[in-house]
Amino acid sequence: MVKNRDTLFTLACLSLLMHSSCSLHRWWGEAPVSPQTIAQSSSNESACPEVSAIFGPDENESIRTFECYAGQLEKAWDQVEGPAPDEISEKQLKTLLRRGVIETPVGTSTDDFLSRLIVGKKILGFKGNITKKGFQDWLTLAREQRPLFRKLYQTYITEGEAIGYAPVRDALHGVAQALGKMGWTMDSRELGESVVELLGISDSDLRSAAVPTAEAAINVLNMVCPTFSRPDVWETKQMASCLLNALDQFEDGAPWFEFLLNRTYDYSIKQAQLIHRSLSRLSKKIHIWFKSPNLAPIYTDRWIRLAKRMNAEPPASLLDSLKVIRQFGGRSNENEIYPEAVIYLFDIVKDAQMPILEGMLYYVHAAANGQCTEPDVDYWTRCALKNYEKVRYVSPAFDLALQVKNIRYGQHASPLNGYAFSKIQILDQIAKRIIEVFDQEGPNGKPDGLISIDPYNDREELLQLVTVVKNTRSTVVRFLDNIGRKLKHLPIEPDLPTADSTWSDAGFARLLTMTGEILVQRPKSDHDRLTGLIKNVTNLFPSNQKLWLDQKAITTILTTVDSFADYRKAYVTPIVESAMQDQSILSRLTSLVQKSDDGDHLLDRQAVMHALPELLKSEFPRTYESCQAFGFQKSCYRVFDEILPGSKNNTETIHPNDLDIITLFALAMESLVDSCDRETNGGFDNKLSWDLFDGEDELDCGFARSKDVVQRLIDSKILDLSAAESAAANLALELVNSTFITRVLGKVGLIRGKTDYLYLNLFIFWRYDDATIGSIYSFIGDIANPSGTEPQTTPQAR
Amino acid sequence: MSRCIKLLQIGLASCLIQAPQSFAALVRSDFSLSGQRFALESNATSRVQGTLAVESEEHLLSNPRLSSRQFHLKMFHESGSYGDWDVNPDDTLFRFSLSNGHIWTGLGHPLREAQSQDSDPVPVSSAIGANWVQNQTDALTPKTLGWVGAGAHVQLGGGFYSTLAVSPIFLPTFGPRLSLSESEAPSGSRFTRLPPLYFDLDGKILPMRYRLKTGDISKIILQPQAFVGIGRKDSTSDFGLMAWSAPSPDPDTNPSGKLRVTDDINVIVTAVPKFPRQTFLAARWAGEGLKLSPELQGTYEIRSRELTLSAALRPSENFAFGWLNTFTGKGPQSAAAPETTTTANYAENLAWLEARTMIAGRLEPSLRIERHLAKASGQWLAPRVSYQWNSGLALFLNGSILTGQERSYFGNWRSLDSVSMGAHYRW
Repeated sequence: MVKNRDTLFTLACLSLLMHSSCSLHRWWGEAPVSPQTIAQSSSNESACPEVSAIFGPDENESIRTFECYAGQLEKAWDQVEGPAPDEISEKQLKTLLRRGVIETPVGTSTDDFLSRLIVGKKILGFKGNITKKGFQDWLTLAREQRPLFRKLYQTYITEGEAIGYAPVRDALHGVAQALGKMGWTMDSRELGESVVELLGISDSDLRSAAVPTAEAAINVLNMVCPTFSRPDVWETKQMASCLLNALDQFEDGAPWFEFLLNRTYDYSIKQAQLIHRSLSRLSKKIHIWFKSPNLAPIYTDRWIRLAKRMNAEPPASLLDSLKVIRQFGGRSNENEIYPEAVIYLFDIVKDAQMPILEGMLYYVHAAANGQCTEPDVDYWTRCALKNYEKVRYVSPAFDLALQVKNIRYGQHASPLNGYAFSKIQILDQIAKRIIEVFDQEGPNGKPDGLISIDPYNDREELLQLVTVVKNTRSTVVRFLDNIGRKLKHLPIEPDLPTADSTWSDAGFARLLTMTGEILVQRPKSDHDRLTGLIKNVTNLFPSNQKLWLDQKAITTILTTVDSFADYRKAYVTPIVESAMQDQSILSRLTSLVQKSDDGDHLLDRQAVMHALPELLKSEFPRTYESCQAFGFQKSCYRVFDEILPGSKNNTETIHPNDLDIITLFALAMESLVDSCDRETNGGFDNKLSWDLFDGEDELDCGFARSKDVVQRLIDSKILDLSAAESAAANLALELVNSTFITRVLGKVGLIRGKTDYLYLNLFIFWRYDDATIGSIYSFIGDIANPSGTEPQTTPQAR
Repeated sequence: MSRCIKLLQIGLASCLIQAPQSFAALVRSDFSLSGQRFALESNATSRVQGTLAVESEEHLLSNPRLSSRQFHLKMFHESGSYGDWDVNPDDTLFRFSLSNGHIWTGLGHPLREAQSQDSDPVPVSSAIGANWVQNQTDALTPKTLGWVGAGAHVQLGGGFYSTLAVSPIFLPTFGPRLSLSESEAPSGSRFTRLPPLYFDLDGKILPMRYRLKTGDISKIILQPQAFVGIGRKDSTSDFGLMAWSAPSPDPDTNPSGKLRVTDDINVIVTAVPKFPRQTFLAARWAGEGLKLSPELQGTYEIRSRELTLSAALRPSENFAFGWLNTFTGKGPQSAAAPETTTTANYAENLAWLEARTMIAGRLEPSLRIERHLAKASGQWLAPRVSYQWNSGLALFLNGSILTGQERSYFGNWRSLDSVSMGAHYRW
């Protein structure tokens, strides 16, 4: 037994020891086990859907998504504890960020993100620590408002769904609740800096613009909200109170607001009347609201400062030009615009609204039935009607639009679509106010609906007004464009080099104003009515005299000013394409761009002239065809080469704004022919003809107006003539125009397109046919360039 | 908490000592002093270990192995900051003879009271021992503890017997020293199984701190336990069926974590130890008179449906080996078990072997091996050589080799290989 036992033991020990000894070096002193780490247990819950589902089309999915995120956030509260129960301090936030429990967005430092969180906390109204109760209050508010905002968003994005006033009102009530809950007070500096922090704005331009933006915005709020007890102080509770008051007060305007909110609006005449009635009721409320003594004025210097920060610096003369505001009565001036101005502007909109509604019926119908000039247009503002002549006889609004905007040109760049139509109605109301302000007394000593201006006085207030409109428009467009560029993380455009712009604002305004009457396409009855009123309307504004403009002429001027930017935009493609085709221009353009610190904002003059046929063919086809028939080189090209800056000093570049002279001159010349061309055989032939039995035939009209155009070009210093040349040209034109006999010479000149040897044609004038646009251009070119030098090459349109 | 309970236990034992008339006769004690060197530690540490056994000379008639009164106290102390200590009363009892058995009161295990031989019927490597309350302070040589209460062992005739035991006091399993703090990382002695120290939150590793919420300790302690067993013993075997109900020896901590954010972030885990009641059905068969002295045990926990089986063979007095395994059911407890299980169960596919021999009457080499055969395998190899200098003094040399995968039962201690050398004195 002992032997067996020992044998067994020996065998066991031997085998074990062999096994052990072989592995002993491996077993002895193995590395200790690593401290145990447990991972977050994988949740059985499925991940929340995309947050956008909260605003998605499915209400149940929206609820589920919202509650999923709400549940996660509430659960997070239960998973965190700190020194104070149910509270998170800034110190704790910092710790959570530093340790990466709250993830910092890519590209943002921890400190920056912490600052953003702290500002966000402040904006949400947490004065000290973030409390669970405060958080849950926000969650409750969000839960309550979710259905409203979801439905509103869905209505907004769904084609054909009308946005009602009621849901917007309810949503704004929710916004007011949120503002009330925030409950903070800040000055503009603090708010601006807070917003910069919150949004993590690193761009220096936007950072520097934040405080001025806040200052400008609170200024607007102070002008609109009578609830603010202290000016220039942001108080969310007072903002909430203002919003609630406004919603209550302005509910009468619900149909009009709905009209504004909806992109497509299937409405009838009855609905249009309902909208107009609501607008009238709203107007009464607006009149009461904006007469509150608690409202503050808008301070223009804040907006100018803001525009400068956004590199949209208005011209130095703007403030001076704004003095014209004083003319509109009330307390407003160039420095302060008082709330009554809102009433003034609202009344303009209100008065324009009915004709807009009237015209809209036609546009909506045309867009819905494929009756627009562009077949794929489905929205009324982009629709231009195929046949305006039909509707002008049943709608005074269309008749007005067709008189102030000639649809025989510019239909690509600036078509008379629903949008342009609406603007014309508003501009017409503005013109009406201008007449009211400036129409002191007429030739007969009483207000007669005409205003007189002295086009040679730079202090003339109407000229200043035109300047203000033009400059303000370009400044605002530039301001908005720069904001858009910043939002796309593009650099702000450098300011346009005003030094290279050939025209002074006053000079352009002068020419435009003087040309205004030519641009109006008046019916004969209107023409005759004005003939009786003032001589110079029929006598076509002799130079060195005061001009008389009626509401229609002013509307036309404002409409024309408004359209220049559209034309400039339309010219870009032909100019670039033209430059691309000509290697010499392209290489020079490239070198110019390289040389210029201002980027590509200056245009190559040669490229513009090279593209001229394309520009005219696209926007002024009658002019193009007529010049081609007459000889493009000696007609259109010659004139535009003269009137574009730099013809004699070999300037290689021009300012983009200088393109406006092409537009203005071309549309003036076409309008000239349209206004003198009489209907024969049921149509217009676009030519000016003799009528031996009419003391004022088409050619009489054409010559007189052409003479005026030339004299205005001379007076505006747009034609670069010497003093002697100017005097000679003026004398010759006046001499020819002085008697019906001598005027024959001028008519022959118009037909021949030449000024030389006119006297030889005095007795054989009947041998000549008609004057065309091309021949008139040539005639003017002959006067403008007495030396007769002509360009060596003439480009052709493709 | 375990320390508090341990003090209570010592207090109870002290009460028993206060009965001077009960203990006066026989003192059998031993004492050892050794120097121990752990593999990865530069300094050797010392360990003092002793046993105090005081027993009355009067033995029970029905079971002469048992004295009518006894007080056993085991203690050890290890030096160094990673050392541990323990003073633990072990089987401290008053026994009273009956005509056909005996009753007892004090701290004792019912199966030991039914045992007529010296061998321990409930070692930790047996199915019953593995599911019983243990003292694991000396981590590599844990011991099954008895209950504090009273019981009776009665011979029923025909070899049948019955054992009953009740305890009004529940004492859970004790382990190596473990300090849990809300502000500092968990710490303990060398063999402490630390809870997870870090939490991986989406790739962010955060330290974990522990807040222990024991609640009212009396509610833990004052939980009744009951044992009932019946068996038959003849000359070759001993077969018993038994059942007992007691709180789980190991706590179900049901931890819940939160991010605690102050100057730093840690995950504060609130552990609320609960000792859910368990009810076991068990069977034991020991072929004491058979050739290989086989012993089989099986336990079945009703709620968790866990079945534990063990088998041991002892071919000779100096050689034994066995196997222990738990078959996990799909009861509610296991289904709700957290994913963060830290360490493998001791009773999971364990094979063990023990051998010793005596050379020249003085030199006694021995070896114990325990090895888990489960996926997360690990083993403990403990060779020992003892030289009996004289009747009281012995010199010994121990080795302890621990290997295994990271989270295996022994692998968790794999860096704690050691050798120790010392002297042992018995009187």
